[in-house]
Amino acid sequence: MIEIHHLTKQFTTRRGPFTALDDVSLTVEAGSIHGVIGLSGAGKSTLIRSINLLERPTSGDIRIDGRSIIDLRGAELIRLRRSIGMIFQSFNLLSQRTVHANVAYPLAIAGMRREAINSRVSELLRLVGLEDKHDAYPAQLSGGQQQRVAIARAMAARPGILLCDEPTSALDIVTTGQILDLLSEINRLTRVTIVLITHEIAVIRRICDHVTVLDGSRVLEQGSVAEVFANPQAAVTRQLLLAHEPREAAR
Amino acid sequence: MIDYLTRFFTAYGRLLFDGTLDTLRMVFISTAFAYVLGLPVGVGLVLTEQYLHTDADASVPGAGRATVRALRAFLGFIVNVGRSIPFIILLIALLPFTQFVVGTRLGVRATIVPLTVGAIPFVARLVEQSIREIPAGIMEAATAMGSTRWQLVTRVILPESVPSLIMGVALTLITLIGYSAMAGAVGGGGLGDIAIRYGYHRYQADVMLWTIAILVILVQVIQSLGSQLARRVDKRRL
Repeated sequence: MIEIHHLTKQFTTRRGPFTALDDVSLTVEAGSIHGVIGLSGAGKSTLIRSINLLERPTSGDIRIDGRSIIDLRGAELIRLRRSIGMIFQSFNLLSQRTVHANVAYPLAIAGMRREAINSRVSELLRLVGLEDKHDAYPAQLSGGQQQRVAIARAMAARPGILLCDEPTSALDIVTTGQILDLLSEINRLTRVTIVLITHEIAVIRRICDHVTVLDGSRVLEQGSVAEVFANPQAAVTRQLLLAHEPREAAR
Repeated sequence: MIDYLTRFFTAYGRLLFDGTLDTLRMVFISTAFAYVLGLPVGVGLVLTEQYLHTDADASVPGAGRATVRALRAFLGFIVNVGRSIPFIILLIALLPFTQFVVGTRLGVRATIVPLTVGAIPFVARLVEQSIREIPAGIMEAATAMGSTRWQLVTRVILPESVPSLIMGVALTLITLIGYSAMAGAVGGGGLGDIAIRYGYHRYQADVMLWTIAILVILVQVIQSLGSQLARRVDKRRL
């Protein structure tokens, strides 16, 4: 379970302080798929990056399974990050390494033995449907295939949490569906807690259990996907629904 | 014509051949030494910068930041000082140091010292630039996976920048060929030495022209081998 309490993040910019997150609180149930939706600049990215401390919040608290992570440093921070998988909009695979070596990376840096790594990598590539691509390089793969490799890599060390930073925004609509189905399948098989940020209603509808609507660095509303979208309270939620599903929204 | 070539190469062939080998020896050895020191400095320039910026709000306790900022300023300053001294002057200024290190001020061995010293800041900047070409997202993914700083350098930063680093090595070799010719002015050995002694002091323009021809060929060969190798090892375009 991830509990975020009154999280605030301020950046110092040349034009003065900028508030990216303003008193954001939310709870992600263990094993659920939690979507965070909002327009560009809403603070989604800062929020998800705070969970593995790629950004260190200015104030507030983040608890994972009851333990505050906000002040972790050094070896403890490394250990935290190794227990959280992350995938990105632009995949971010190591370009000079094969698919196999990419998926092996988190295991190798944790000091796992070669034979154990090899069997785990084979298992993962089978899971994501790329068992014939061990020796391919990222440049030889399609976007959807690259994201599958990234998912295999993120899940390699059996993390309890998987962070998805706009995972389908660079993919076409068919591939988006396949990747979302894969994430949902992995969530079902491993009970990994997934936090996903997106600006697309369709993504939330397809796989999320819960949704948080973020706008102007603040949480506007949250709840189960069915509740929030059936009875949207915030103007931004209605705008997002209207933009994506004009007919449903009109009903 | 054939007659001329036969006569010329009978007289000077050996000299030019040995000069070429001397130049290559100086340039390759100096480049190797320069990377031993310049590579860590280049990596240090990038890491300290990152530590201060992207990492600004993460994982950095206050006391460490001041130290890192000082280290960064120091590295940058040393590199800039090194880059701003014209090589011909560095060569002369370093003579006592060269004498101390290799026990002589003349010849191939003596030239390796200033060539190495002159190349270190150049190499550091090249390495820094190569590393900066790595997309920020790749570094971020590696950080998110829980890489230690050492793992980040050895398993991500250096492997990801290999094609660019190879181009940098070729550029360094070529730059040092130019520098090594200047060393000829103070009795440094190699092709530059030959060009100055024969072309300038003895007015034998043909010897000088042949050294130029050889230098041109060396540069062409090194550049095209470097580019080819960089392309061959790069997995981004397949």
